[in-house]
Amino acid sequence: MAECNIEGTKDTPKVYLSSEKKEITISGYSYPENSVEFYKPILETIDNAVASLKDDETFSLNFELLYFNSSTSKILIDIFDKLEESATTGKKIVVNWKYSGENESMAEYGNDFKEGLEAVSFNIIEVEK
Amino acid sequence: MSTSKSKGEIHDLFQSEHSVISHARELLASSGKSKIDAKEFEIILKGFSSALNKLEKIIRIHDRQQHEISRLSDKLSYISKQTSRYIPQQVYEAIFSKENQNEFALTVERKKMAVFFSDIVNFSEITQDIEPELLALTMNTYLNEMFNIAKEYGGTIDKTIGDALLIFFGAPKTLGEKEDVLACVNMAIAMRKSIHKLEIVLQQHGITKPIKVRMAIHAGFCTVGNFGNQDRMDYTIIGNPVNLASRLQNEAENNQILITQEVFTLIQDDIYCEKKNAVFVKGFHYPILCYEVFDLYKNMKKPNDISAFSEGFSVYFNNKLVSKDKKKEILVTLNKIIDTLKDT
Repeated sequence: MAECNIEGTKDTPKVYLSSEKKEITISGYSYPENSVEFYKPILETIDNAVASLKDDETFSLNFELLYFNSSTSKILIDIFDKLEESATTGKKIVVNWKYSGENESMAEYGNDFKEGLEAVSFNIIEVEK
Repeated sequence: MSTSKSKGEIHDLFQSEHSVISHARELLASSGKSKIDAKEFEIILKGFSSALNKLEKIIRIHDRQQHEISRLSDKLSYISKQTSRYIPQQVYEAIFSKENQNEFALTVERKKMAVFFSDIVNFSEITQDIEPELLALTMNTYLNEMFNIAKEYGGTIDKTIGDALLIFFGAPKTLGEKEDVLACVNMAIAMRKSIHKLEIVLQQHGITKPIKVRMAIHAGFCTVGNFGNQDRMDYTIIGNPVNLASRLQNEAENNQILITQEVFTLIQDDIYCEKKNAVFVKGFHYPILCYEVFDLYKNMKKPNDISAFSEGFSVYFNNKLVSKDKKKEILVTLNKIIDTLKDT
């Protein structure tokens, strides 16, 4: 599994892939100047991780976003649709959508993303700040 | 961060949706007059359904974000309005101006400023027996009037200590050295004139003792800026001119505005002043030349006013303002002048 570790900035999220744990965590703010360009290596990493997933393995995606723009939301919808396709073919995929209790809107966004996903296990989890 | 996306970037975001449309166009072009294959149509339909589904989600999320931004904007407006009551207007404007998008820095600068001090004479005695609510009303009525006048003339209210006021001109905005000093003196004159309004309000609440103020202004180089740390800052001035203005204010008589030589030099063409005896004040080992401010020359040309100014002679007389006892003294003085003039 290729490594993908990106330090967060005030405009872009921190991305950390743990090959060992088979999980990727995306946290912070996401309003990159060019969302497509920023998320391209991340999408490739997710694709590779899912493709190399063995039958007894589960791939987890943790999202701990504080704010994201419309371009990011389009990319996230694409990611979740793709994951849903893979999960339909038998891949075990879990999405943990984490939000702070002080940011209730983030929970609602989670519900929007979750809508229509059946094969992917999509959890909306409140975390302490 | 770029706030607007280029057409190309948006196009890239919708690459999969564009490929569905391209596929549909190609199919339509190649099919001619023959029917489109049901399976192909199903693929296209699936693609459009997915695109529509995504669009609906994006709009829903976007609307929620807009609502959230609007809510936060209202909250920010409320906080900013509340905050503005606790910091000087000029400082507030400097912090929230478009030019100051970066943090209002912990900077200080040394510049020439006009420094104003005032207090109410015997304020403690006037208010010692009144209820706290009435004391609050008195203070708030007074400070409200003074703050409005300071704001009107562009002064930065540094601090209030009880009924005492420290206001300065020249930072964070300056109109120029002379203009700043002139605005400061004009403000002091306006404040003195407004005192009677305060007396009327207080009389309505049973406080009949007359309100008198003492004011002083000095101009000089001060250090001004934000002092404190990242958690709490105070935009203030420090320096000898501040001490001198404060000391001189203690020397002022009831309803008197005293100014120093430095101030007089800048405003003498616009405002009628009289030279007073030099005073010695604590902390300064030399006599302080000072002048009493009367009014703007333009304001003095009223039916009740008589004024004449030339080298070696200056007079301003307003019959309404002079008490009976003073009139006798003035008459004696005028007769002396007349006798002296007759003898020459």
